Amino acid sequence: MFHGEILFFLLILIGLVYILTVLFFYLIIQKAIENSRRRKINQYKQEYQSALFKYINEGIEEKDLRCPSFLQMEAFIELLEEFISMISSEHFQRKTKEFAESHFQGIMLKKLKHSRWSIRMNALFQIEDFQMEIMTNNLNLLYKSKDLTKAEEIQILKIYARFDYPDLYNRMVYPKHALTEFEYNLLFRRMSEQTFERIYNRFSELPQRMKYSFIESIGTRNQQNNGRFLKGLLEDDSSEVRIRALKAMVTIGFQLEESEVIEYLQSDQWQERLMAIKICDQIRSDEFIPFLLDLLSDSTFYVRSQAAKTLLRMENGIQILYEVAATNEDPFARDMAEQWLERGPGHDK
Amino acid sequence: MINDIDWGLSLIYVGWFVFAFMLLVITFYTVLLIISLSQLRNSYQLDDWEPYEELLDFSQTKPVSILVPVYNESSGIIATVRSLLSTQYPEYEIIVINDGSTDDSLEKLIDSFQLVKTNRVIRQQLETEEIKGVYQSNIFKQLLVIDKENEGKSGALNAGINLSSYPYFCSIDGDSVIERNAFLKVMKPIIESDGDVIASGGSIRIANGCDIESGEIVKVGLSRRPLVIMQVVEYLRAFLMGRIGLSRHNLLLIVSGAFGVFSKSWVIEAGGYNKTVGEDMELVVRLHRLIREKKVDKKIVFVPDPVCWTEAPESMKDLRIQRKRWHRGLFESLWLHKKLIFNPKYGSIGLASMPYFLIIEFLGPVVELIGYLVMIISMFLGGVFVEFSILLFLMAVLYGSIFSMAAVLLEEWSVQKFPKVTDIIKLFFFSLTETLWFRPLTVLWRCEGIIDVILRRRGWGKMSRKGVSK
Repeated sequence: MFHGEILFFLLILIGLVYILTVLFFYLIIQKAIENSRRRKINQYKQEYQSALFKYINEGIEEKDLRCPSFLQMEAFIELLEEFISMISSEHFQRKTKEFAESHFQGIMLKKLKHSRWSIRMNALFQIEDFQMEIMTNNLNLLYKSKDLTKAEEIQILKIYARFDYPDLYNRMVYPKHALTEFEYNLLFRRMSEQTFERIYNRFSELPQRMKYSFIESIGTRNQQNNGRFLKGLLEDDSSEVRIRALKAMVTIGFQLEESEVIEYLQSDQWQERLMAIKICDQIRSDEFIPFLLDLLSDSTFYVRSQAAKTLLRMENGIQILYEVAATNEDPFARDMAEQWLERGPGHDK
Repeated sequence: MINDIDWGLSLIYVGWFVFAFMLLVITFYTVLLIISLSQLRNSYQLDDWEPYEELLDFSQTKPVSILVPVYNESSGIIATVRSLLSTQYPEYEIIVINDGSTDDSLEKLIDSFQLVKTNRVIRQQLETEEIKGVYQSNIFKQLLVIDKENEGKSGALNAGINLSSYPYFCSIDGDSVIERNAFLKVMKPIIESDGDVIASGGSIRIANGCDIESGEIVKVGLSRRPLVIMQVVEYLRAFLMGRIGLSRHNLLLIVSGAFGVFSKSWVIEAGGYNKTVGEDMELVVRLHRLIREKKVDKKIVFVPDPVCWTEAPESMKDLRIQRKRWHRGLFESLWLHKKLIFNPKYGSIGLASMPYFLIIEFLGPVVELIGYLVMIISMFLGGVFVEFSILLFLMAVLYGSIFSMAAVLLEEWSVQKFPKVTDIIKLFFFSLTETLWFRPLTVLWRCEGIIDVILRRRGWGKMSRKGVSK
């Protein structure tokens, strides 16, 4: 009765086992080939390590380095990546770039056109590492492709940022895939002062996320000269902009007037209170003490903790916290004072 | 005679039902396999370091609190903490929660890391049993140990959340070994998404058979025990095929308790860990529920790179205890959130994830067991029944062995964690035998788990641990 069905499923099963077994042998052979390829690359790496280093460092080029085979080239790429992760001198980076641009152009082009995403990504990482500006036109072609993935787009934008690519601004404002704040930060982190300045001049036109990230980048780039600009942002209607401006001020160490700090110590937003306390930590004026004592009983844990930490660093801070720990009516304030007395002013958390 | 024929017909009907069920599951798994194939192969041979490099020294990389609940883990806890201390991540703290261990776990920790008692303020955001003390290491300031009354893993994790200082936390089992760049890998989607990803789980692998020294994987290997080899295959199948496919469409309901990162504020809003046997899954379901109820676009993702190595049971007895417990845990999560099942209000979670876990994961073993019984009974009835039995068996091989073989090949085609060719050969041929012994055993144990649910048996069951590190 079930002869037909059995035959059908048996055939499917045999077929599948056959296909899987063929695939299995294929993969095993591939693994053996890959292992031998890896061994050869490692061997080349050992062989040419000192010659390549000598060339990059002293400019002495051996004949073998001039027209390498495909596997040698892979070995050179890996060696150069290892060198630049260890040595960051300008001379070294310039020579690496020269070598990469004269030797790796072909291989990178091939990799950029590869159908597999990971190969293209690896090439993009290497182009950035070796600063191969010569590849810009090829990057443009990849950028314009309709199948460009988000990871590729960001990596290309990162390279553009490093090379001060003229159209970077437009590509950041109108990206192909929506960028997150973190991704904008990566780009701001790489760009030169001039490009950063150009974006600064068009700040009001930036999309919201890019704006937030730009403000934060002023802090991470430690741009002391933009303190006034940050202060101006405190008038902004958006509390998020104000909080980020305060945060950037804390990072660059920009000091507000005491009265302004006090205003933020009493803000409705706990993030603003927290940032204001951090500014108090930098100014350390006695005028802040009563407000900080109040903030030891704040509804937000982070604010209470930061207030105790800042108080501890004041001139008579230890004495003040001992008093809080012994006499304050609020058990949260007492606990926090005790904890920070035990941890001491050196702790950051 | 008439009765005999009816009985035989019923058997055939039941057999066809099992057959149809298996066909449905095979179709479902095939879809998952295809999704995984394209995704994994795409990232094959991607540079292992470049994508994560800039997370290391970047001020925007969010700090993480690592929570390690410990109950009688004396044999493995020191190696686990050591492996955590060598983690590559810009800022983190380690909080070990000694959940009333009756062995010398706490003493070992105190001795090994020079712990001293401190006056830490604990923010009581989640309810827990009494905390007996908080210790800090004199050598590693980022290492804290909570000593508390026994309450179970969920309570221990909640206590860790209360003490933690950072916005993200990671739960790790006390017997796990973490890869050095595990946190960079698992935090990457969270950081890159500006917090739109609220939880991220890493892929778990089995550590038995690997060379581990001082909490670090020195060489990936394979155990000689068939029971462990089959579990390796099972993990490959579950992680490489199942979770990648589900994660792609934000349908993931499990972030393994052995290694998962969560946004602290979301977990606190969801009420923290619940006192269930499968607290990890239950929390993820609750988070999904919260996302849907708040109508926000947040995601829970899976990272296919192997990031955490854990000890697998080596004896039938221990494996049986584990599987019974897992199945009970699955039931508890489904029961607590039964409202979601087939509820269109909860979108794809209500219409796809929850029904998948109920029908395929929870009830699947019952259907499979019935299938095995039909197969055996039919064998003895002779004639047409034997043929039907063969048909069912062929289907079972398709359902079990073939997918496992495919998962092993998928591993070798994309992730390639096993350096030795012989290991792959062993895995491949063992997976072919799955339907003959391993699958029926686990089906039986999972059905026992259902019986435990019906009989309302509780408790975790005691499993023996050797510790995986030298």
